[in-house]
Amino acid sequence: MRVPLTWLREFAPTDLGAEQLAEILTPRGVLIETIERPWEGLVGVIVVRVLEVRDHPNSDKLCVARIQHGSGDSELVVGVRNMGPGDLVPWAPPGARVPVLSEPLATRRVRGVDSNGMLCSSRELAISQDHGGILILNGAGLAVGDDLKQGLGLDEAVFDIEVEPNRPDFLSVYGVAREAAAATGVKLAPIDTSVEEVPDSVADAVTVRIDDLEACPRYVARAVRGVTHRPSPLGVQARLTASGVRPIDAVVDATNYTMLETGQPLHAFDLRRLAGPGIVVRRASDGERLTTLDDVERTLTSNDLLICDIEKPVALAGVMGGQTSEVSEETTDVLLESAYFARSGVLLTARRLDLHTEASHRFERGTDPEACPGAAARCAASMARWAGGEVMRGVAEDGRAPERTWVALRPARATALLGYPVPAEAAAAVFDSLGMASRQDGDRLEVEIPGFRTDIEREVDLIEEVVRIQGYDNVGSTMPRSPHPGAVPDPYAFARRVKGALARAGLREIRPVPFDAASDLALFGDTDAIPVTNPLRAEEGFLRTRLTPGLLHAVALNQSRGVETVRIFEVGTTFRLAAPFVEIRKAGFALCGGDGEGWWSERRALDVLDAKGVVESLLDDLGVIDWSLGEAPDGPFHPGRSARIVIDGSHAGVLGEIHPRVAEALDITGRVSVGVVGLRALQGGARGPAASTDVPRFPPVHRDLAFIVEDATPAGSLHEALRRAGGALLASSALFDVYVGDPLPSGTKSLAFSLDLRAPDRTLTDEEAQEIVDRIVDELARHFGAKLRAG
Amino acid sequence: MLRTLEAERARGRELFASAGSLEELEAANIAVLGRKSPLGEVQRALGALEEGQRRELGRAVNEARTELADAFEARRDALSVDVESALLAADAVDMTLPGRRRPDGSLHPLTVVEDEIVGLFLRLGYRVAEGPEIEDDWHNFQALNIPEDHPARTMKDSLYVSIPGHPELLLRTETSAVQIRTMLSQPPPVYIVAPGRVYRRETPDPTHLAVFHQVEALVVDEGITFADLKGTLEAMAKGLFGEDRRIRFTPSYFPFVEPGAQIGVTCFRCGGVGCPTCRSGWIELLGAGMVHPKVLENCGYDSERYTGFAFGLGIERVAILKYEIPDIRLLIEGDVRFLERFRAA
Repeated sequence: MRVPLTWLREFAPTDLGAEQLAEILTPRGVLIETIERPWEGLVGVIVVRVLEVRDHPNSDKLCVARIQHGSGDSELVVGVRNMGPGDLVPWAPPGARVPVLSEPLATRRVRGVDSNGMLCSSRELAISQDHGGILILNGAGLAVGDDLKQGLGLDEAVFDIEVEPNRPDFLSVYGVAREAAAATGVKLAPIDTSVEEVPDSVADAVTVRIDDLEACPRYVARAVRGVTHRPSPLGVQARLTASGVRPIDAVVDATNYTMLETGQPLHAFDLRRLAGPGIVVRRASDGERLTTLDDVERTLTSNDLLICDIEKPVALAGVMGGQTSEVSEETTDVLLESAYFARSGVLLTARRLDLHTEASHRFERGTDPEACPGAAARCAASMARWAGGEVMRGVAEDGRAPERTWVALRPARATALLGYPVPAEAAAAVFDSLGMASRQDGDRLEVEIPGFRTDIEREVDLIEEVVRIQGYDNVGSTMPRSPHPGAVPDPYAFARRVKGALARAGLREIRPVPFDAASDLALFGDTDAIPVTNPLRAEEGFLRTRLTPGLLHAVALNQSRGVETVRIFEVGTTFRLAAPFVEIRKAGFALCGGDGEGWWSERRALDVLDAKGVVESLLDDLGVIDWSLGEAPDGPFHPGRSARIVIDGSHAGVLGEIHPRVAEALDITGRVSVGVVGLRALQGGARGPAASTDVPRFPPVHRDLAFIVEDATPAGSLHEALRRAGGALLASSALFDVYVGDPLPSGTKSLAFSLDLRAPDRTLTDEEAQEIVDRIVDELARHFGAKLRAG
Repeated sequence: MLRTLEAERARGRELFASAGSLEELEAANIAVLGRKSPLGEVQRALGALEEGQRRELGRAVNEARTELADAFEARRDALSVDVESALLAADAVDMTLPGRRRPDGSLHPLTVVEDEIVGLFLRLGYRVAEGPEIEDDWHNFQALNIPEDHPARTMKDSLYVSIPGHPELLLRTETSAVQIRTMLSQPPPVYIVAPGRVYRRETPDPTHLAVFHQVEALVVDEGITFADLKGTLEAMAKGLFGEDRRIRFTPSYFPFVEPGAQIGVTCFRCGGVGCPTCRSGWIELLGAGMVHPKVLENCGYDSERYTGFAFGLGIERVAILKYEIPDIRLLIEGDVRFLERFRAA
């Protein structure tokens, strides 16, 4: 809501400047976001009289105007010629500034003629959008030589206020003025609702009937006869423009001006186009149609409320007028609607039709049912003054404002909630300053709720008013004492632990948005993704079913920016349909690029075994002991470089390089590996830190053994057999070398293991050690045809 | 023979002193103190002398031997140090080479900030609570005093999900729904923090994300006052941003609290005097208020006996302020050069 300060001061005559006033109002909940000065850029424009307009000697379109400006004459070149000798017009002399131009005016030659400054249109002065010609100032009470800014009252500051949905009274100049008066202690001036009327009664000429008093508790109509189509006074236009409303003509401007001032939306019908003339307020029938002012035919439901004449619908109640009854340039007689509609109905209609207007915005937040007659009178008087015409006597109306309610405040309760003493008298003073009557009733203060305070329903709303007006600074500062120590639920703590483990494994955490495009789902062929009903972007059409697509997109983004090595992880939620849905937490990571160790080592592409190393680190870190890799998983993986992760015998996740064709389609260059594992499975398999065991005191006997086996022999199987054959005295064994090539026969490889043999209670003898080694060699020869390599 | 002895002492000292290496010194040792050295010969000749002469000369030989042996050892020690120095010199590395490092990992700034906030409240005796990201209309709106016809509630602002037979489901717009779930699951007192992701139907820009994270806090107990809320938020602001931080309450409206407030903290850059970042000296940080009695009643709590406060803090908001992140979208992109600024914890 934009509130010009000169307007506000008509009702709250404070002397405070804009900034000072804002500083007082904002802590009271009138959230002034900015203070604008729309005519800051208007300097030195004066009122002049046109003496002569003649053709430009060198142009068909341009003309030359001679003007009188109080201290002599000047000439200038003008592009339009709607002004004539004798007209008063605004002149920006050289050195003056106008809001639309960044530089001051100057004298320049235009096609051989010296031109001094410019004559201004209404738009150039930021008074309205009218750019049809030079603004004619005749009859505006201005004289030659007057400063235009002073003369039209354009030395204006405008509050731009963020209005929260519970305070629709701030959607009016008067509502803000009420708060400003309370805050500054000045007396709030009433809105002048006096109106000069002709004897003819509108109630005799027009009928008003409400068929649905719940949806429309009150309807007040006034009539103005004999209006003419013309612009409203410049000061009115300027205020409307400053308030963000476009001036149209005097009739429409009067309704908008009154709405901005009072908060009561008004609608002007062309009285002669209303059948009857009579107004009927009723619900639409399902499928009924109405073409609204914006030229759109609307199909209605029985939830929508219609304003009808005695034959047909003429407006969508509280939202927008209809085309057939619209006021136009030919309109002479106007029927003014000033009604009160129930919030909910207007809101649901506006929302369903996605049709939001200044009127619907106010009605759906709540207008003041008591304001209808006053606003109608105010509007009718303005309309007659600005558009000519006469106001008919009285109103045609149906319904009435609901009774005011009384809400009780217990000062003791206010004290208990706010934490500082709130005596009844202090509370009463607060309500008095806000225009709300109160009376003491035992230990309660009964407060009368006026129609403009739609937000106050119960005691706590009154308590808020007390602290808001007394100031939030009155509130002390204490700390509640929790009766229990802090605690973290297991899944949350575990997810955090997994993050730490993955970060320690050298990965960086990412937090992408959890949406998938259809193409992401296609990677795995997932068909149980949850669609987002109203996504803003097609790429966000589904909730993600997996972490992998997000990880891969992050890899691609990094590569596109020239970052080659990417080691990232995410611990996050995935979603699937499951009567109705499940949310599953997973940990996932991706590796891509070189191992990046540095100057001391050869660069090497990260591959699936690096990813396996991450999985091993993670599982070690978490104390997961019983795990293994199973068969290659389904999905977009390299068939020879992928495996399922099995924990405690159950499928827990996947590990693998992305299929090169898929990686390419995702704009990823080179090998990219991912690992994903479900947190529930991880947590189930985590044994926690092993109990501390005694450390061995006897030194091991060390042996290195290399075996030549066929290429296809899995190292893991050979190692497993080696461990079994080694038995209890094989304290540890590690694969330390894999070799293929000369002098080995082709189709074979060498796998070298380093063994530590140890007994807990003595140093093994060489003979004992040799026995174990022999057993291992025999066993591996028997099962794998492994030959011990010499040396 | 005494003369020979004197000459040998001089020669031996000279030889030892001039030995340039341990090898030369060893050779000198044999030449001076060996069995076939002149000194050795003198010693062997001692046997042929009569006792008086032998004793006298013997003492002189021993003196010479002792002196020369000392000289030898001194020289040997000196030469050994030189050798070791030479070996170490040959073993030097270029200390300006980069150190050998393992790749560093890191936690996302949102995790770091969430840890800080949650940690702060854990120490104050709050429990962490969580809820689903797909919520139903009742928990997300109605129970929070946002009925169907509330102006703050439009299809435009929320993201809905299409799950057959469940038109009431949407992506939660606030972590406040966790308040409801917690209160329904336990009697008062309640002291919780609820971190989590929330969704809005918005186009991201440098200061807004459509999907972001909040930490919701809720306290419901007997005798909880607005002052308790203020004290708690002051403690949080100081804990997150430093001891000299002050906070400001501005009246504000959220349907699920009354009275409600917008909370600002003094600007980090200028300390509250006003600068290009904050303009006013204050940075708006979060929304808060006293739990609306309707919300308590919706959860079956006695709103006369119990009062409470709640607030919701945007984790991204804290992160961009704390780390001076110029564009909030950096948080969701996953560019590792951005992530490298943060450390594992």
